[in-house]
Amino acid sequence: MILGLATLVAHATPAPELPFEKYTLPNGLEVILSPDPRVPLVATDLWYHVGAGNEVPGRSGFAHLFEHVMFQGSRNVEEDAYFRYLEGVGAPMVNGTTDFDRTNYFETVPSNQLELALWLESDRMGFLLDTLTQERLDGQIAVVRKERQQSTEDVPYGMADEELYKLLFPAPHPYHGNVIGSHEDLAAATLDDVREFFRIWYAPNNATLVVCGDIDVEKTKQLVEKYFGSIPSAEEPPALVVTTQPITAERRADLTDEVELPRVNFAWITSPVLTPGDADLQLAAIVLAQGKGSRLYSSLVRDQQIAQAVTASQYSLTQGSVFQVQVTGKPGVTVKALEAAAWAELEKFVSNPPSQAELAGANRRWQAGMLRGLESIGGFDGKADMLNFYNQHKGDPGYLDEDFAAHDAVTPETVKKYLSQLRADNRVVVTVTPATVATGGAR
Amino acid sequence: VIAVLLSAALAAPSKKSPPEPPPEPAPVVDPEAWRSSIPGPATESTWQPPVPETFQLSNGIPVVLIERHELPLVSVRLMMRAGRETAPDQPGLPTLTADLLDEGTRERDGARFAEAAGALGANLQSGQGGEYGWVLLDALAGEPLLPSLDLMVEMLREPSFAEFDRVRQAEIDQLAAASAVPGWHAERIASSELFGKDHPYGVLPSGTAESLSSLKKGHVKKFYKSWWQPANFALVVAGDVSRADLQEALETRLGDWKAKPGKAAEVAPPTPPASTRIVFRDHPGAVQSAIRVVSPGPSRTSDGYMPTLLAATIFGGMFSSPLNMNLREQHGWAYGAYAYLAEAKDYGRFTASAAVQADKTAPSVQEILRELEKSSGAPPSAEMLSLAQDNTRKSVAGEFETNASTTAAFSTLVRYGLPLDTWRNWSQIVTGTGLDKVGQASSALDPKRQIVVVVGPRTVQGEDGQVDVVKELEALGYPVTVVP
Repeated sequence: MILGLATLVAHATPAPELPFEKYTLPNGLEVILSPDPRVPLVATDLWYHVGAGNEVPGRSGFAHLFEHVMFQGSRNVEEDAYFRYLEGVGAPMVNGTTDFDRTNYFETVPSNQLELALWLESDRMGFLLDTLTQERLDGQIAVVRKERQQSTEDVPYGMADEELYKLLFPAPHPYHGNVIGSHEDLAAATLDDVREFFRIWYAPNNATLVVCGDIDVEKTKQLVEKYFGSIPSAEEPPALVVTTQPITAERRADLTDEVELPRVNFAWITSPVLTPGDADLQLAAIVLAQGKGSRLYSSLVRDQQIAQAVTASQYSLTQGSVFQVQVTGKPGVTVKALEAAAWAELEKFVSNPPSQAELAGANRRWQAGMLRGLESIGGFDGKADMLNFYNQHKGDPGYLDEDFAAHDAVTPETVKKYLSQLRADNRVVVTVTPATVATGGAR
Repeated sequence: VIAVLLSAALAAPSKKSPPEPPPEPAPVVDPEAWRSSIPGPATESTWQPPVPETFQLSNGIPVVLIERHELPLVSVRLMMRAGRETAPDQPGLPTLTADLLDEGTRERDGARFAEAAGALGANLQSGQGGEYGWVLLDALAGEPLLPSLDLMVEMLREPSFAEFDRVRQAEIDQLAAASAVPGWHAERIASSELFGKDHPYGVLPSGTAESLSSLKKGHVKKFYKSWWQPANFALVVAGDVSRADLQEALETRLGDWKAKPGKAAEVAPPTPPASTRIVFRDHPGAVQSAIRVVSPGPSRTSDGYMPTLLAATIFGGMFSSPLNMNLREQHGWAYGAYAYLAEAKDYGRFTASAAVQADKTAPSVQEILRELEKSSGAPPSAEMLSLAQDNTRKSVAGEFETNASTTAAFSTLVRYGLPLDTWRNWSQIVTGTGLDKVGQASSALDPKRQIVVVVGPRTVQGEDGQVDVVKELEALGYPVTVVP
């Protein structure tokens, strides 16, 4: 077994070729073009380098609310027409997402409709405010508050996830709470706030456009110039000054929720995105909880049968990543017993870190995951997003090969070093006890 | 307007000569005015969806292959063509059997099996849908491919079912966890109301806590032996592997497995409800209510499939469909609302689905039925039909972006015995379905013959005080049954 794995390591999958060309328009818009002619589709992926991490207290949820406003029409695109145009041409993917560090807008369209996608994106970059009214804003505030209900409040454990980020990043840290924001702040958003936000952040010099897929590079350059070249740049947006305070004593919340199974979350602030330790902790999370052969699954689900499900993740972020372990218990197991069993396994993991063989397997899984992402030119975590991700954080869309190298370089010694970030005295714990158990009655 | 002004000016008596008009300002040319015209399409790509290669193993297992060599990945999808109708009295048995395949083999226990797959970077999953079971392998191409295939074959041919007790209990516990979700109950009740609770499809594939508790390991072994065998298998493969290599790899691993025909039962299609009725389940504390409006539709292989697919797409398959525009954009009661035609061999199911603000539950049901009334009362506009056709026709290229989606697209054809060039001809099939046929299909979206399932809080605080949701639903004029 060990010999076999050593052979596998020797033949580690090389990072795939990722051809691209990057340049900057005079107005500051970064453009990355990447041809990929496998299917007759083209993905546009526009990243504005602003996210919930740029919000100020009292304005939570603003970046995400704004993302919604962007679909409501602009000078030449009438209300509700955005999706209609794209659905009409058979776009298999149209969406926008808001994260702590960025907001992205993407559509995948048949390759002969690239110009339509560029027209739509450029109209809302250059001419959004012409048609923005109080009524449209109110409509989207209502939709987002509905989204909050659906994605946070009415989802089992949704409130626990929000609580975790509140404890990890106390106010006024911009990662405090949930990207979607609070009802209070959402309801208080005014038209002037939205206009101001657009002027500061939604300028070509704060954005990067990736066009990836079945494209002719020279023709695409001309189209990008035609649609984006005349949009004026804005003042440089303010530099973000954030201090992430280290956690020096355990923080915890013990919640009761309308759920059926108990749950325990442990979380830590760890090495920021693409800095030393980030790759180590990504592989550690895979060894710990990915798949039925992982450490936590084997001990808690299969052997002790105290848990129903386990997950672990390293969520890589600019102001400090979040390493999170989540253990969902069997019915009838107390939160206390679940927490004790899970913590015992985590302590074991830190003192007995992954072996070379475990790391080699985890690296293969990570690589396979990245390759599967590259199969899609656009959409969530597709190739266009990958180019933009590396570009935002490293200034190099082609950083994939270095990221492969960083993962190849992980050893039991380096993992051990970075696992020392996961301690009892700097952890955040959020537990959820089912309401039926808490009140002692059956529902 | 100009004509009216002119005539007014002419009619007005001129008392004195008008003052010299001020010099006209130089006309302002908006340099961005050109943006008001919508760019048209460039020349359409000549690309066509792939038509796969096919071959058979010596025991008759059909194999469909789409070679793609751009990325070092291979996706293998095995279908076991027998569904829940094979175990009508034991709901959950096919699912439990499929779920146990990767939980240990004669060679190694479940933990070692998962470790071996993990070390290869391979994803192996198994499961059971309504009409068929499946095993899915996503592997790295090249050297890891053959050992990955070995593992897939090991779980297919030599499952030990050693962890029966633990996995059965985990599925019972999973059902308990799911019961916290209103949408899960809505699906469960919709199936049971549409088919009747004694129909094999009247229960979700996961079964019930009761049915799972009564299952023994012997049942699983017997089910496996009867149905998980080559006569029921079909394989669809996409990715970085040559036909010769694949054929040899599969022949040596599966070709010697003797096929013995099994007999699948016929599935009785559901009967349409004689009139619309509402079924309600109380879910105290939920912020939103889950709504499903369901009725029987044409099967995937019938002539009615495409017209009804387009009618459902027009009604609620797109963001800009009236269903979503009404509940999301006009009223702001839902984050999204969609409708679709679920495809199956022996039946179809039309479903409109939404999660709505709890105090607006009854008004939302009313709006959905109103939109159905509008859509079924008259044929769609030519514009809406062409929007739906273009969407259905052109988005098909997206099905061939990844290996996994490619194998999924072709396994649909294999499952229903449809020609393997269906995707290549898809565009013609869609555009050949005109307004007359879609108009007829639309009339089947009859608001008077639907089952409306609502799962949400029975009482909830609204803007103007306490809302009694059942009372409001009753006021819509349809019978309301409250179910557990």
